[in-house]
Amino acid sequence: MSDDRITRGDATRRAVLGDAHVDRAAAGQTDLDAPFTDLITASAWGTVWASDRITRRERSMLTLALLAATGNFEEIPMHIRATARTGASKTDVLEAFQHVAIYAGVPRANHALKLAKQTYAEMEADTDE
Amino acid sequence: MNMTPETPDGTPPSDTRLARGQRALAAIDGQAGQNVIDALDDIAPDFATYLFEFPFGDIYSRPGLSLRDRELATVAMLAAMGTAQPQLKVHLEAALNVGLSKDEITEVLMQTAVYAGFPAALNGLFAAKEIFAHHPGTAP
Repeated sequence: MSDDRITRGDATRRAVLGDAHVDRAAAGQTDLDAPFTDLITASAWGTVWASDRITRRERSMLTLALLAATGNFEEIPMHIRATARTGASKTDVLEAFQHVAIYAGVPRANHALKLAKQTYAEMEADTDE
Repeated sequence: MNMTPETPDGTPPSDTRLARGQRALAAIDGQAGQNVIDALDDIAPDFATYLFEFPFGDIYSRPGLSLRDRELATVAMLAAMGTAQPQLKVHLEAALNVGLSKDEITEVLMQTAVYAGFPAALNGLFAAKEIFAHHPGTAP
């Protein structure tokens, strides 16, 4: 795996998910998952998210819609938090989940929206502190 | 305690799950079911036996839901799964066999859009269109 993809991936991941998240994940890393972290840093972050051919706002919307449509709800709060840095608005997120309702079913969109609402509330509580 | 359920048509329970399943498959799926059994013969004949015994000998033969209700549920589930188009077609035939109308089947497939998305419902509706074309005499 090339070092510059990992370097670029780490920078992109920090720009999207935030330093706090990446530092917390790095602290929890062990010998077991270190190679996996390199893999996603180079591929997801160093290649796909690092490309400027579409905007980060658009990638944010795509990612949230895909996570909801495939039922991978666990990663939705993290990507809702990332919208603070990608520039996807609440309206953008709602519109993405409307597509989920049509193409992947209402229950998945419904649950994704519930998670989004909870996460937005937590984010607003954090800024109030 | 009698653990043997009645067969769908109310005839006395048969002695084996296999025989009961064979009767149920013939009554529900007709030739389309038999074609699946025949196709398994040179690859996994034991699997045909399991198919007779569990889904048809045990589940479909249970009292408690009519065959019409069971096919309504089966068509909805297969369409929602989106990965079972051949099985959906067999059960669309079965749904007509056990007395569902084309309109009722269409309603079930339209409802799939709400829970499984429009693509799943569209694929289901087009499968139904294909099957319905082979049954011109059946009630709409």
